[in-house]
Amino acid sequence: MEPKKIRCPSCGAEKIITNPGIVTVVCEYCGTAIYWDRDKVMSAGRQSLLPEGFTRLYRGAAGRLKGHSFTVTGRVRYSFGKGFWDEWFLEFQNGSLGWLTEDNHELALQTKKELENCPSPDSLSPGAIFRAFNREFVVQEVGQAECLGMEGDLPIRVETGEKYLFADASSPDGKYTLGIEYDQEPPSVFLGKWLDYTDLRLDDEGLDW
Amino acid sequence: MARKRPAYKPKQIKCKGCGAALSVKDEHSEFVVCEYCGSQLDISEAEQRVLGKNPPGKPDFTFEIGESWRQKGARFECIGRMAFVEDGDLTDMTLLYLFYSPRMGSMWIGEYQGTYSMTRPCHVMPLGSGLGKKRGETLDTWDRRKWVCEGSGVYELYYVDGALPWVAIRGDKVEYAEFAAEDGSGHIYEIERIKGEIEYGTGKRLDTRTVRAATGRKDIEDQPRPLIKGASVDAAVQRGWYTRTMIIVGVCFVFNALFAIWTWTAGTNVLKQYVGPKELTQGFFSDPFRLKGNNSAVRIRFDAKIDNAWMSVEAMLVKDEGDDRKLLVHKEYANIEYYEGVEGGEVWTEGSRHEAIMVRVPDPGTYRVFLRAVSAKGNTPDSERAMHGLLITVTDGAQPRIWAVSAMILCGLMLLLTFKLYMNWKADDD
Repeated sequence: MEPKKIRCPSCGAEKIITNPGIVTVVCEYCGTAIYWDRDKVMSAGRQSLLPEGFTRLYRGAAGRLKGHSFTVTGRVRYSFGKGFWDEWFLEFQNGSLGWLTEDNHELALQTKKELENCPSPDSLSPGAIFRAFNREFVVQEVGQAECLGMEGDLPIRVETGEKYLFADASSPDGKYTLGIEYDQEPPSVFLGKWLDYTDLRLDDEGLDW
Repeated sequence: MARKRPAYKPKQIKCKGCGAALSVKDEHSEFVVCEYCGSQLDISEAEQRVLGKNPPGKPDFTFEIGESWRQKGARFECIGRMAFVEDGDLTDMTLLYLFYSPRMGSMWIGEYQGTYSMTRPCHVMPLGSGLGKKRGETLDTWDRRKWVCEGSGVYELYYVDGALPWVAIRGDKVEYAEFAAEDGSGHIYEIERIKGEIEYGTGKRLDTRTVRAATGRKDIEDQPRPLIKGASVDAAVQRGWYTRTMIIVGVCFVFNALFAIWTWTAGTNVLKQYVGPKELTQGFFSDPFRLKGNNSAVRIRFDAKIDNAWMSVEAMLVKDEGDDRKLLVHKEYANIEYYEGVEGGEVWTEGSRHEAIMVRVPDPGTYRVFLRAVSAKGNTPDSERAMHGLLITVTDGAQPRIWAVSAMILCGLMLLLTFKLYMNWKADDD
């Protein structure tokens, strides 16, 4: 694909998109979310600004995850009522994409999957067990997520204030995580692995504080 | 496109209690205690709420808010502290410190009676329910590790300050179960139920040297000395050590008991003969009997028919070579005395009616015992004749019973000592 050049409808800043999977860009100058339908660039309005510098990851960070080079291109923050978690969008050097979930300093790398017979949210509560992808999962949390804000380039269309039901589960051996977002039909399912801090290496780890 | 790391800037909030400016270093904090007025603030929602204040009198925390902990090249800072009590006992607190690094996240440092541990949340679940396990019971987790329960119960939050990732209110109950790795590696596993949510954590015990190195604090006191030199203070290891020792000593005890029974019954009775007082006075050759020789042990036992009396026996084992030819093999003496009475309404006895001697016989053949004895009643010092009869029993191939009995007594003492040490350790540990 030819790199796509877009102009922020709010402040006029230019942005070049090289990855065809990107459908939303948050203007780093004015905070306006921009998405496009065919070739028509549209504005979703100004989004909440997310504080930076609190975590190891940051928009634009480059590094290696289990040996694979990546760049962090964007982030979406969701609230679960009594707190929040971040979804960092990663572009790997080999062209693949991934979501790095950071919840209260715990990291998990997830990829979107298709799941037949996805359990309904009514059937899930903390402690409930279900089978998916040939293994058991135990539900750890069920709740309502609300998008608190976003930054950077993202492969999804999302706006601040959007709400949906979600369920987070973990395999009992503590290795795998499964997230179900009831934002559409069928629901979006993300399968991933919990990571150790040592699995992630950043080119700029930063100075001690 | 790579970008420069943004500067770290703690979040600033204003205390609703006193208006002081507070710096929140971990953006995941939902709860902050104002360092100026002590108000406990719920900051999990847009509108701040004041929940209460701590009781007067701060627990004796080792680490202060703001204190550093260095781990794997990163600096962590103590941002929150909690003190838990069990059964309302304020003299026995469990202290928890939340250390935070903007790059490396957070970890919990636990302190209990001078011992330290470090834990982080994990998602490994137990096979079955871990809560409610009793001390010493084992637990398997899904990652195929085995654990021994070190304790379980319900903690009550007594004191909290700094910032925490959940809203903690004094009096909150935490149902917990703590486990140590069965392999004695020092790893620990925790299960906690807080407000209906079950959380798991894993980590390891920290020795004093590690704590000193991480904090730079030279004043951290040494951990309590283990009861057994060289053994870990880890309860699972201690229990394992005592269990193994008791099993080993118990097995030795059983073997010794079997050995004692064998020695008690070993051998063949080749002579059992009663000799009257008259014959004993004159000197008397017993009936002949055969011994197998080859330096086998022979026990000659005397049962004197005495009561409040003494008897002095001269016994000679002679080989009967026929034609009135007798060869002296052994000459032994045995003194037998037995007294009994009633004093102050209590029956007492002294001495024994039995005596036995052990000899070794090199050659097989026919043998006799030549016996001569004198005896007297009471305290009569001398006697020229025997006044009592004697039953003589000769056992060929007998074993000295004293060896087995001594070993059995020693094993019994060791078993008793190990059990007593275990009970002392268990009482201290509890």
